[in-house]
Amino acid sequence: MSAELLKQNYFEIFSVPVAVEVDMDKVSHIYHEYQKQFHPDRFASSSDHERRLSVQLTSHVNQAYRTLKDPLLRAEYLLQLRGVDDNPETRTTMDGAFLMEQMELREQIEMIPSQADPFAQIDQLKKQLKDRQKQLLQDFAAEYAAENTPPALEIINKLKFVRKSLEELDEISETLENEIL
Amino acid sequence: MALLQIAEPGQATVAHQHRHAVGIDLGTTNSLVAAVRSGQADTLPDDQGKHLLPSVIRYLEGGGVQVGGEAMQHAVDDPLNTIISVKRLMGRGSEDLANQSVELHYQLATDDGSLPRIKTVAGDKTAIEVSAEILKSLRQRAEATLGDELFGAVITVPAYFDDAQRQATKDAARLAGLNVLRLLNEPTAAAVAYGLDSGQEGIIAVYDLGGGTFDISILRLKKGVFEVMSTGGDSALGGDDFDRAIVNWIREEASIPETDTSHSLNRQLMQQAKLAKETLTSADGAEINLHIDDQRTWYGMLNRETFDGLIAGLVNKTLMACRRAMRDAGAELDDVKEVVMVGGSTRVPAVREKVSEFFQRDVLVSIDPDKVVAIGAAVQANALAGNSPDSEMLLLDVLPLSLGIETMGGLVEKIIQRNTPIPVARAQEFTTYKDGQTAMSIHVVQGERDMVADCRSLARFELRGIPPQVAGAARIRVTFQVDADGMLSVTAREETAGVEAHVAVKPSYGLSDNEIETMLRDSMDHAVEDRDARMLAEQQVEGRRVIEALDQAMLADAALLETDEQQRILALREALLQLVEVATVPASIKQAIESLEKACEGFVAKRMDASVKKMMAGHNVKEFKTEGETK
Repeated sequence: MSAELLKQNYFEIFSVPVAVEVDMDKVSHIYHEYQKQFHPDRFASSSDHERRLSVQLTSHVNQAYRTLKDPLLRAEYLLQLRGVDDNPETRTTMDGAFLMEQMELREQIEMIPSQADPFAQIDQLKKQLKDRQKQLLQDFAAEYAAENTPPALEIINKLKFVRKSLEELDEISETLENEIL
Repeated sequence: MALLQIAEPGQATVAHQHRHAVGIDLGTTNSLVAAVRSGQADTLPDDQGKHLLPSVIRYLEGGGVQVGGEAMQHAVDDPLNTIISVKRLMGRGSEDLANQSVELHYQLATDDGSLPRIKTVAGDKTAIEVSAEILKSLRQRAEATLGDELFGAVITVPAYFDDAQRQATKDAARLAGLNVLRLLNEPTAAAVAYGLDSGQEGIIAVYDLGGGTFDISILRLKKGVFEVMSTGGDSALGGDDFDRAIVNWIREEASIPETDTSHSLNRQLMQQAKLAKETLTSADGAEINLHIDDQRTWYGMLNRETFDGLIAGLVNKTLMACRRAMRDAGAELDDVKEVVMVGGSTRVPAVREKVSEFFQRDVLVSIDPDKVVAIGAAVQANALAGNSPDSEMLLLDVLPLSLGIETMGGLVEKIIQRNTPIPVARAQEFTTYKDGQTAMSIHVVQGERDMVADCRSLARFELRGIPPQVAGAARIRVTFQVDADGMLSVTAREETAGVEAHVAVKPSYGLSDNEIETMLRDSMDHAVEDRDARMLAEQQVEGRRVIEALDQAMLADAALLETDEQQRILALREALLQLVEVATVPASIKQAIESLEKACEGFVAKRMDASVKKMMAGHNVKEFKTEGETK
């Protein structure tokens, strides 16, 4: 397969600079152009080879789009482009204050179902976590610009904690709703 | 149309022969087939003028099969051989069926595998085979009406169907001799029927109340992309419950004791109830005449108000599900742009009123709610067959349920999250956890929960031949590929030693390719000669199509080719052209097509790169202008 598109990195695919901030309007415009050109539905009556190529191309474009759209995935990908391999063995240890904060948060999450107004509690924690996420992303941008890899990696791991907690809050909402319905 | 080049918008494409493609709504209670004819999409009736084919199959002794209304007449006197609601069984294992909310009245054959088979006088049948009979009947109807063989079909499936259920539907189509162009989500099809894909952007609610099932889907439409944001419903709630509510009312009014459950009276009650329900869609009252026994008859009047009261609880239940689906979608009522009504039971005025009240807007009912899904599928089928080159429509789907694999402790590691646009491919690396480990078992599941036990098991396979190493040294790369229909294939490869072991995965509750082939052979209606003649004709058509596409591509982009490459391609083109004229066996044409396509691979890639460059260039110019204007 010699198609150049498959060899380009996710930023090149959408002709945007490799950076923490991305012009998502431009990306999503080009994304839809690609879909119009290469979606498998456009090749429903073409040869097997072309259909396969079309699936491969759209998959690649979809993956690229999803990565740029999600700030956490995007941040991870930026480090990957710099050749940083984030596997558990090389992972740096988390700072103590952050771990304490997370443990407290876990306790609060566990207490939710027994609260008088669990949904209000969920909303409040969610807001708190989203603020934290925003701040961590700003920190990441600074470390990335300064090419400080270990601290950048640590921030990504923190962001993963935050994301996991947000997902858990959604799950709890769902369980609570099921009980009411 | 081919060689990876799509005409620029507005630019005329080569005129080609109109290809007949149909949309099929394979429903729980009824099925339909629709096609676009003279620019108009509509469902196709059978020779008696009936559009709806009851999704009922009766197996006869000696191997005969009855389909639709004919089969339904025997649902009562021959229940074990008359299969209804087979859609509920698609892609399901024996265990799932034991937990069904709706009782199945036929007997399942005890079998070794996990794919359940229904016992009938004509042998044990899988849900896939039963569905294939329904599809075959619709295919024959379409071919008789359109006067030609079908190029392909778009078949609709519920938005919440998982991989196994989608695969089962595709397998059934293959058995029925249909070329599946695409599986389309039912709510998306309904929205397409109303042309909402070209309308304003926003949230679309699709309320589907059928005979025995209720589904609510919340879709988001953005730049031609339909995203299913949430689905909900009740698989055991539908118009049949309205009938039962009327039956209970008649029993009470006519003072029929509950103990009187004679068969003929029951049937009369159900018929009268159905009739009254239908009358009440347009009239304010419905007469009920009951012949209880030789001494007693009963005459009564059911007015609209009483009927509305009888079903109020049921309707409310559907609205609760709508509320839930809206919350799951994270959408506000204000965001809803359109509400599409689907399913025969949405003809009931009280249903329309309540749904309209809930969503605070008029609901779309101008297309027959029984036909709307099939019509939307036909529109999409027509576009996919290349019959409407000007159509800008592109339906991008998302993965309905997350895909993951089992890790230590019965936990699920999600590989592809739900709502990811498809097609999509994702690779993940795994390693061994024991010294000298040479095999690894991979269990693929689908669902949102953390525990494997709470998700649907899709497939298990083993990767063997990993070179023995210390624990954690092997690098096993598992690649998940989901196609545009939402269907999965998985491959695994051990990377350190370069050992490759590709494993294509079939769902646990599907048929193997071998089984399908055997069934296809068994069900072949044509004599061998017929089949060969047909295959030869098919290959001739295919060969001409490839040549036509190549000529078009050469005309536009021959400059991209080196002289020798061009000569090689042209020589192969000449060989194919000759074979199309003179060959007597399909295989030789097929081989010539393959050689030509292989030779063109480089050309295809070059054309694609050129088209990407052109697209980008066009985009940049536009961007530049906008920037210039804003400054």
